[in-house]
Amino acid sequence: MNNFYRVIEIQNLSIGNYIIKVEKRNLKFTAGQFFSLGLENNPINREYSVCSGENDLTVDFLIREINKGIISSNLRNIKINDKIKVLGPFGNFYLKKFDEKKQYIFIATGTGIAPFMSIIKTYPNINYKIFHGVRLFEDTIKELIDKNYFTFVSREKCMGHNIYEGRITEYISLLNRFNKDTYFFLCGNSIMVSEVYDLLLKNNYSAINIFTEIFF
Amino acid sequence: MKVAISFPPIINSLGQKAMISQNRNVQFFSVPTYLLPITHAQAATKLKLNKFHVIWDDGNSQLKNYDEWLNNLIEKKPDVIVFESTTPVMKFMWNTINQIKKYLKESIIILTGYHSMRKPEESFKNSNVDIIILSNHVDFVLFNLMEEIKVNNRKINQLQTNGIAYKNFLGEIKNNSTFKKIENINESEIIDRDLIEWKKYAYENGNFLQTPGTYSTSVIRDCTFGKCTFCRYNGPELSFSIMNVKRSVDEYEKLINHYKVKEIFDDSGVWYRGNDARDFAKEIIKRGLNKKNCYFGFNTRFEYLDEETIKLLGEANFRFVLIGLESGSNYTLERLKKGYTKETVLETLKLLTKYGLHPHLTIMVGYYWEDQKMLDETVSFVKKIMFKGYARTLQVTLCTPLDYTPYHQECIEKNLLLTTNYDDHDMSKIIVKTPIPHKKYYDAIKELYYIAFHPKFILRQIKFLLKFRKRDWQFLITYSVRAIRRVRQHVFNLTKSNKIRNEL
Repeated sequence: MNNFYRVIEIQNLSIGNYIIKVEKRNLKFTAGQFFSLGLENNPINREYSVCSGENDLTVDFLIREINKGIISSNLRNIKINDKIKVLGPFGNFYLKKFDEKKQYIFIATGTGIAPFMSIIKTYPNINYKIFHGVRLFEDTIKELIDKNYFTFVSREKCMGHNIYEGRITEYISLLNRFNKDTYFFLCGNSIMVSEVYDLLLKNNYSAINIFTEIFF
Repeated sequence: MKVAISFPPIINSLGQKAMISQNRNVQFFSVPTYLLPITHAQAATKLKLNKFHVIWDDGNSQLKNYDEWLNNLIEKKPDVIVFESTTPVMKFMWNTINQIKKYLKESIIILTGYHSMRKPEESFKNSNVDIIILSNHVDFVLFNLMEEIKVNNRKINQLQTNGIAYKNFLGEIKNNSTFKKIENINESEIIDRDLIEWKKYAYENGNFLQTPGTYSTSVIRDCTFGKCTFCRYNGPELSFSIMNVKRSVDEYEKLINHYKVKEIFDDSGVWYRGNDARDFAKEIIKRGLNKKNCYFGFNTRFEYLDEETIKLLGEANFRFVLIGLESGSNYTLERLKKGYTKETVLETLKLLTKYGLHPHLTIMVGYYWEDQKMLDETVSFVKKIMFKGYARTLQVTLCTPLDYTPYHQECIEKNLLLTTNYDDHDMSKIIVKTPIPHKKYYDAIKELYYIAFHPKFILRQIKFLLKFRKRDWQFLITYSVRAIRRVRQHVFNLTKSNKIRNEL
C-alpha cells in the first residue's frame, strides 16, 4: 500500500498560513472532506482539509503553522518532490445534493475555510456567501476576495469593503437577511460553531439546514 | 419532580451480567467491571443542581438483582425514568419498559442511547416508551426536556424541546429531530461524585492498577476523529466537543485531594492531543498532582502523540493508555477508515513504553472481509508487539455490527447478517458471513489471549521490573491474577458461542 505522494508546490499565504499541493495520482475525494497527513519515518499524523476542487490537477491542503506543531511546521519546510503520507479521505461535511437554486452560507474561522474553498471550486455555479473570521488581516484568503467574501478580523484594526472588525458572532444580524430555507455550513473552532448555531436557531433558521464541522 | 436515571441489571441465562464496555458496547461477563456512565452522570448532576429530585439508580453497581431493582424503582414512584439502550439489549429494554408501565402508568419513560436515537420508530412500536432522546448530548437535552415537562405539569403534548421524538396523548409519534448537534461542553456539569455513589465504581474495574479509581468527566465528548466505520462515535449527527484544560485539571485536583482517588481514567473517545495534551500535563505537574500517588489514563489514537508530549505525560504520572489497534492488516485498517497504517503503530508504542506508560491494545477480529491471511497478519503483528514489550495488556473482541453504524449498515446492505435478532449482537459470536469458518476467528482470539502465558511475554515483564518503577511491580502482581481470570472468561464465552453458532 503506497500512501506517499509527491509534493508539487508550497504556497505561502501569510506568516501563519500556507497551502501544500500534492500530486493527485489516484486520490479521490468529495469537496469538504479531509485527509490525514504525515511525514516519512514519523508516527504522527494530523488531519487537514482539502482546499482544491474535486477536478483540479493537484490535491491542495490549507494549513496553519502551529507554534511547535509537529506536522504543520515540518510540512512547510519540506522540499518539492519529497513525499508525504496521505491517508483518507474522511468526513461527511460536504454537500449531500447540490442545488443551484439554493443559497449556501459558509461560516468559518481560520483554516476552517478550506472545505468551502474546495466546494466553490467544485461547484462554480453555486450561489454562496462566505463569512470568514480571522485574527489578522493577512490571514484572509486573497483568492476569495470578491463580493461574496466577508471577513471579520478580531485582533487588529482594519478597514475595507466587506471587512469587519471583531468576531463573526458580533455580526450575526448580517445573517438575518437570508431566506429561511438557506443552507448554513459552519466550520472552525467549537466555540464559534456552537455560538453561531445558537444564534441561527434563535433567528428561526431550522437545524436541519445547519451543518457543522469542528476544527481544533 | 422525581427523575430516576436507571440502569437495570441485565443477566443472561448463564448468570453473566451485561456490562457497558468500550464505546458503550455491551458484553456479558460473570466477573463484571462497573463503568460509570459519564454523560448520564453529568445529566443527573445538572438536574440535581437545578432542583430536581434525582435518583441515581444503577442496579449493576448497586449489586441488585433484577427483581430487587424493579421493586425498589416501583416503590420510589419516579415521575420520570431515563434508560440507556444499545443494540444487544434493545429487546430487554423494551420488555422492561412494558413491565414498568404496568406498575407505574403515570411515569414518563425516556430512552437514550445510540441505537434508539438512530431508530426511534422501532422502539415506539415495540414498547410503551414515551420519549426518545435523539442526541448524544443527553445532559443538555434531558435538562431542557425536564424543564418543559415541569412547566407543562407533566403533560407530554406538543413538546417543543429539540432533539427528541415522543408519543403524544393520541398515540401519534412526533419528531423534534432538528436539534443542535454540538454543545459547548464547558457548560456541561462536572460530575457530582456523591450523587452517583462513586465508590461503587471505584474497585471492580480491570483497568485500575490502584484503587479507588474513577473516571473523570470526559474532556472530549464523542471522538475528535469520528470516522472509524465500526464505531458508534461516527455519523453526521455527531460532532466532537472539547472542554478546556484548566477545568478538567480542577476536577482532577478535587478527586485527588478531596476523594483520595488513586487512579483517574478519562474515557473520552480520544483524549487531548498536541498543545492541549502538553498543557494538561504541565498543569498537573505545576500543581504537584503528579506526586500524589495517583495514576492517570486515557484513550488515544496512534498518530496523535509525539515524543515531547509522551515524555511530559510520563512526568505527569500518566500510566494507562488505551489504543484501538483493531487489526494488523493495512487493508482492514483502510476499510475501517482508521486513518493510520500498522507502520505507525510500532513507533507510537515504542515511545509510550520508553516513558513508562502502559499501552493497552484493543483488537478486533471477524470482519466480514477478513480472510486467513489478514487474520494471521493480525495475530503475528500483535505477538510481535507483546513479546517486544511495546504494549502491556490487550483485549480482543469480535467485530459486531452495532447501533446502525456505517459497518452495521454495510452488513445490512450486502445481506451479510446471519441473524436479525438483536440479542445475538452481544459480541459473544460472529453474526456476519465471513470468507473463512468462524472457528478460525475464535481460535485466533484464544491464541492472542494465551500470549499472557507465553514465556517470551513473561520474561519481558520481568525485565520491566529491573527499571524499579513501582507501577511495573504492581503490574506484575495485579495482572498475573487478572490475566488468568480474563482468559478463562473469554475462553468460556467462546466455548459458549461455538454451541450457539450452530443454531444460527
